[in-house]
Amino acid sequence: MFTDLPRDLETEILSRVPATSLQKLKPTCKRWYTLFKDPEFLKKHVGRAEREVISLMSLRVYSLSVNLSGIHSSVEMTGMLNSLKDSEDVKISDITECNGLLLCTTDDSRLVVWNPYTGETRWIPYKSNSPYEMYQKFVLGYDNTNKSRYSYKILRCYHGLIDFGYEFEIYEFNSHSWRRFYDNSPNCSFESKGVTLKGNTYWFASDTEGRHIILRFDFATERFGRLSLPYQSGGYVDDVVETGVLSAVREEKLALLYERFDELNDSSEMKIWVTNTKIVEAKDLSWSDFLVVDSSKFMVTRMTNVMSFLVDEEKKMVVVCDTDIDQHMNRFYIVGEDIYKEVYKDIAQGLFSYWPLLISYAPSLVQIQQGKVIPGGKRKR
Amino acid sequence: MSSKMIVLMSSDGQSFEVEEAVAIQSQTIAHMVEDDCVADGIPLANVESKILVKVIEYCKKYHVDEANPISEEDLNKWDEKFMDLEQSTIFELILAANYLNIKSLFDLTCQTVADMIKGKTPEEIRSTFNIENDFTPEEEEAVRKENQWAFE
Repeated sequence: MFTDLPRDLETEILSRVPATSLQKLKPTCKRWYTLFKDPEFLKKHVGRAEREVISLMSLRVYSLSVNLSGIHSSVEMTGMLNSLKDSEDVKISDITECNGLLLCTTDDSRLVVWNPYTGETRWIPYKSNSPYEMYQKFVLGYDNTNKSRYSYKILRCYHGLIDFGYEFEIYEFNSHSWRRFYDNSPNCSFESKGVTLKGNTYWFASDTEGRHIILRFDFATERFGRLSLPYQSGGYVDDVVETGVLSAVREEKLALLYERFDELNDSSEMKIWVTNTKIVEAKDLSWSDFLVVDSSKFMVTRMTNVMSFLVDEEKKMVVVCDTDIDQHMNRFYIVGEDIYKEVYKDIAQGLFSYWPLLISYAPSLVQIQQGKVIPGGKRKR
Repeated sequence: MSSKMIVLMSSDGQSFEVEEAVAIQSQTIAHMVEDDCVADGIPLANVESKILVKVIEYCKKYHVDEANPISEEDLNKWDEKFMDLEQSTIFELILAANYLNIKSLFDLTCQTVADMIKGKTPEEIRSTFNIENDFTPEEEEAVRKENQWAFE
């Protein structure tokens, strides 16, 4: 019966099938194999594609299904990433996302860019110049001043010799090469993972006095800049621990999750803000309250080490993952105004430097080899 | 309240009287009404009676007004029951919704089949939809390995 359908109707149906299913169905028959590579079909398909959520835990990448429906909210693992070509395990220690591309660092410090939608991968070679280059971070971004072609770049931040601050290198997809650049301005420590929005990367950072700031790296000008927080940060206070984590809300806004633990009073608070309007490169950030979590209301032990979260603006909820150090467990929670529910718990394997991560991305057709974007249709959000 | 009726005629010669307001959810029929060529009834050469009955049932349910108030949640539940049909009927409905240009029915029927496809293996797809495998075993293996990384 299916084979009797006119081609355009077959395309209409297949363009509504999720990307992960389509990849698996390439071997069904030659017609489908060819169709799933056809640019016209892909444009239609990616235009309908829903955002995907993946999680990095214990060096493994999982695809997740997140269901936010009040008390019945759940998070389910729907698949685990495997390398099909080689039988070697794909062990990943860090991921950063930009435009549907994932920049992954493997546990043996190799770097690879992956488009989960098209399945393309590209290994990026780099050299470590000295054994002191610890705590290196990679983020993926692009020069957003050229509207017709995104020019993708990777920023590598690393500590050189111990007493000097961060050093930087940039890799351009077009030139296939790294070059160093110097910038003393950050003069702060990157507290959170970098989050890339509209090509530029943002960090929650603290300066030498312990005052918090939002740091932005502009991939077009290749310069760092400081932006406003939604609160006044007073710097170090004895017996108080403050942490901040950033998250991208769709591809338009930034969200900040702030936690403050008062060790003396054994109290904690969690607040989440979202930027007001879509991120505009030159201007400063303005924030709105999104959620205040009263931990006493829910009578839970404090959440610790929240490294990653995702925001659902419509439902006014967040999905958070953290690690319980004492029990060696990774946990996912769903948090809203009236809900605080642990929805997943598992033993954390590997070193504690590998915190669990939650990443949301919209499938895209970006080709990694040239870093070109095929102009796509309108995205359903 | 006047409810203007029009007559729809299936390909196998059956006639169905339907409120015009209900029928014009089909863009195809709406254009014919505008062009004022519906006096003798509208012949639908591509839709047989068995399917037309279901289309009319759908359009009646989706003609929401004060007389027929219904929530989105209830409509979704109704959709599920409505689409509990044999595979061949679903495909006929897709063709009818396309010909009659009823967007919501078209979306519903296509999504139903897409949901049937989701999560199945190529083997299951071939047997469910009677699709022939024209790959050799070697070709099929090569295709499977094309993407280096995949979620399993």
